[in-house]
Amino acid sequence: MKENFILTLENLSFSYPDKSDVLKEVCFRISSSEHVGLVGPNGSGKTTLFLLLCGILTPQSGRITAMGKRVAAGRFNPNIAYLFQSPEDQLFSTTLFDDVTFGPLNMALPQEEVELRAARSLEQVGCSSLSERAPHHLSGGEKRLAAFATVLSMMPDIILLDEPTSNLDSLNRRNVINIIRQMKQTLMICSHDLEFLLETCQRVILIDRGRIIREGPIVELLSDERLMKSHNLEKPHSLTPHNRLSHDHR
Amino acid sequence: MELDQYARLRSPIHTWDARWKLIAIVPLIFVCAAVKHAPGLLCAALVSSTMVIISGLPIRHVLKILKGPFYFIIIMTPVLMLTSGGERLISWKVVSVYRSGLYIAARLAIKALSIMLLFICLFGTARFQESMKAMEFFKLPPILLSLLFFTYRYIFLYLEEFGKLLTAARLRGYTLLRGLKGLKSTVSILVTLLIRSYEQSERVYAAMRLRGYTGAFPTLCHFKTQASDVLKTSLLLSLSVLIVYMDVL
Repeated sequence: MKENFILTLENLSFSYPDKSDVLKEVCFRISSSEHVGLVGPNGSGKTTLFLLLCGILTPQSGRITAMGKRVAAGRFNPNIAYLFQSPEDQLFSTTLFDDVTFGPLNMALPQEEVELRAARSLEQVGCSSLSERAPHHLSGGEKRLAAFATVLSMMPDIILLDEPTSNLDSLNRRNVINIIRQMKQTLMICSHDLEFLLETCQRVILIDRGRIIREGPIVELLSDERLMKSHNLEKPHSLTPHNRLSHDHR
Repeated sequence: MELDQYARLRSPIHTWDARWKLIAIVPLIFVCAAVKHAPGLLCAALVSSTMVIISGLPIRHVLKILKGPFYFIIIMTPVLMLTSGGERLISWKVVSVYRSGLYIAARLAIKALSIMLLFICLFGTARFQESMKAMEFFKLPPILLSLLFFTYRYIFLYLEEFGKLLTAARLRGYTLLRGLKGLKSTVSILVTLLIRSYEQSERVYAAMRLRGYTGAFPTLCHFKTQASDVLKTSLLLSLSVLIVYMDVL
């Protein structure tokens, strides 16, 4: 049976004017409803890859296909959403409600539909009571959840999440994990929080110096200590059960 | 502090259609800026303060907004009183307080406070997005509106960021009063803030484009003119004419 790929990258290469080969010949495929992690050391090209996938940057060569259509840079594509690393970049309106309705209104949806989507997405992230608050009055965790709502209200098929747990306390981190686990959309998550990826993704792609090093089932790939070390990464502690034991006996 | 923090109250000023409110209050602001004589000035002050009272905005909120102009008045008053020249009220050695300086300072204070009170009535009694929509209705250039919108949204963030940078610098021995060295550090703090804000503006623009931004801010607010809007506007425009008449008389 032919597998249903929602996102396909073929030989994608990209350079910045002051930095060449940020991404080189990147290829991968993602199936519908799949949750895929993207790991790699700092400066490996993860965020650049996301900016290319959502059409903010234009690749020098290669092709990105999402839901059977080529992703054209610079065009509004409500099917692909990107959650920025910093919620301050995502929340630009004067109230959270205005922020959540910004995308649906630009999609020219009827008013009732816009209101319904806003209410649903705020409820999904547990921020219904904050809708009239100004974004700069929210706490770090609230901002992160609110940024999630701005993306969810557009009901995209593919969501790219850039470090969704950065600067979160353990409770808010758990909230984010629960929200992600319930999401039916195709997700690509870039994170240094490998334990978080273990809880939310089925597959992982390892990227370093702009090249795909390896991809595969998350537990299998992250358990490879030698591979992880050679790319400045650390095997997650939960995959090393004796660690806890030795700590208890100290 | 937000200007439209109390936009959800239900006073006659709050229920006034934002477009009609603009038509009525903007000319009155110009009238306040133009009046020269005491009767006109006092009348302008009376109208603007009455409007704030009718709006039901908390006094603490109003005073908070007035803090900035108040400091300006406090600084300007002695300068004007001591440097304007003309008839002396009090003299001590080489220092003199002039009657005309006192009069100019009082005029400046009344004008500034009246204008600020009207400004609070205009933007503090409707959601900022609604005021923006009203300005858009009168064909104000979208770029100007976007500038206004982003200034309002990010000014708080950058003030906070500036505070953090200052704290970080102070912890490493920075003080403004350290001559050239202090000045150099201040400049580098401001440059850092400028670069950060530039970088962030690029990211915010990208986030907006991804959610369909093409230059306009869509909102769910719809304006509907009612008889009371026309009545309130007519009343305020008549008061503006009356203030001009009293000033000319």
